[in-house]
Amino acid sequence: MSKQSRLKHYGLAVIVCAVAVGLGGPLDAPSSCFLLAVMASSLFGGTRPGFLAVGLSGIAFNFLFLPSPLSLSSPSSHYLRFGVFVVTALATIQLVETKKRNEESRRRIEEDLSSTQRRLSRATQIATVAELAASIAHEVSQPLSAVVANGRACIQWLSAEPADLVNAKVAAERIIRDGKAAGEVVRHMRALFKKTALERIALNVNEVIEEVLSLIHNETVRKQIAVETDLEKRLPTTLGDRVQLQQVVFNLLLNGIEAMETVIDRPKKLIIRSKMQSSDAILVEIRDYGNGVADSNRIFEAFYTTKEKGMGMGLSVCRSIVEAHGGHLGISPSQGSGTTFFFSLPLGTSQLE
Amino acid sequence: MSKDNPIVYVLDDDYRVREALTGLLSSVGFRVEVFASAAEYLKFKKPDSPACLILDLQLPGMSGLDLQREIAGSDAPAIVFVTGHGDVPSSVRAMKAGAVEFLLKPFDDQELLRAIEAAIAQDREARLKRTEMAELQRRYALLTPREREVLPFVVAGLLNKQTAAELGNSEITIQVHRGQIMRKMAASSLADLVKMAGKLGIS
Repeated sequence: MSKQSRLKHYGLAVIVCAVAVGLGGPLDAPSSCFLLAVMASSLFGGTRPGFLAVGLSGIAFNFLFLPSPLSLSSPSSHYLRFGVFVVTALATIQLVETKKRNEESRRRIEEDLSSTQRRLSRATQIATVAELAASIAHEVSQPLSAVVANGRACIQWLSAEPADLVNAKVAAERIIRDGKAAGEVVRHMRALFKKTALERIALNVNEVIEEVLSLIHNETVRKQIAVETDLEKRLPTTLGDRVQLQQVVFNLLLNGIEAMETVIDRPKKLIIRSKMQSSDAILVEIRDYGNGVADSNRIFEAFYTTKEKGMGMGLSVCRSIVEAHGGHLGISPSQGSGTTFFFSLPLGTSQLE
Repeated sequence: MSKDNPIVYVLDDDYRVREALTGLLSSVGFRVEVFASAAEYLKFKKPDSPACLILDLQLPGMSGLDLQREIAGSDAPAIVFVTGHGDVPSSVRAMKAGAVEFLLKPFDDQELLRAIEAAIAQDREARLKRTEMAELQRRYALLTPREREVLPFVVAGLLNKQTAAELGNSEITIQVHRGQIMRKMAASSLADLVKMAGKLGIS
């Protein structure tokens, strides 16, 4: 809290107490007015302004509203009256404080809940992608198995003495049929990925980046990677699929983290930058200080991987997502070690498919 | 191809795979029978020849692993599993339950043929053992209850006199029993009889 706003809160306490002094007499209800003042001070100003209000009220009550200011000779009923007033005022502050604390904790729980839900939906999505990949693999491997077996059979029939041309022809025709079937699966898969790219809402790319960063925060802390952001504050909104763009950022960041897995001789650092590329496009850059990329042309190909356990799908999926948004994903030369990936997103809707 | 005319059963729910394997296996000289479900396979009256079963892991109704469990212990042929979803737990279960090979689709044709050859060889051996065992059991069934009592003493190497004392018979009776046992079991020597008893689990 700034000094200025703290002063404001104390000022508030002074003003409401003054109002209570002014109204207490004419209304003939000084204690109620002072209690209201204490309540307002602690509710809007905080606990300390609340205490200030109690003090001020106490003094005013003592001097203005008791038949005579308290002294050693005052009757005990005056002391009692004053004591009851102070205790009630303090209890009021306590109640307001408790109420505020409850609200705060409820808000925090709600926040936690919604972030957990976000993570869960992300996890489900990843699981769905894995399932999808398994089912596609199965759909393609059936006709491929048949193609291989038919191909071998065809050779066998042809190399028999005498060659069995009828059976060889049957086998060759089956190869064509099953090859086409496998091609059909691939076409369906493309259509599927295109269809999921349809949800487009106005979004701020910085938010997308920050959501993903919060998601991998633990990972970066655990691996002692420093994350630096340089996000353009006045970034205009763009139309896009939030989840898919998160996937792109997520993938690029994970790549960066993995690229620095074995780095020991220099600090591990990820830099994420957003800026205007031109008047009608946003540019996001993600730079790591890993070991760099050997073949920057091939890394975007599907199934090309440099990782022991990788599928080689990450970057090619990223590129197709960015391109479906009318943008471009690429790699730019880094100064020193590491790799810089960038992607652009157009602002206008005209280029969206 | 061997003269005992081995047969390959193919159980896969995809007609393209069934067709292709029929083509491939008959082109290299196997007899092939294809089935689309475990029920069809179980219903089929299998001829008496060495065989192997190419079994898809995922099948409608009873799965490949279920079928493997169902037919285990009977005179089931050796099994080669093929699957489009290679998950480690199923492959471990399949191999533990005695599968010869676990191939991932799309499979390599040479690899498949090698696995089939191995499976058939294994089945041929198992069948030989089973025939031998059945013959021994048939012979053992010919023995009278008394002869079955005497047999363990004979194969344990006891003299007729000792066996007679153990069973409370005269030595000459035991000698007659022993002669009958050797004849009925078609044993050429005592060593031969001991071997047979070992296979039958008698000691």
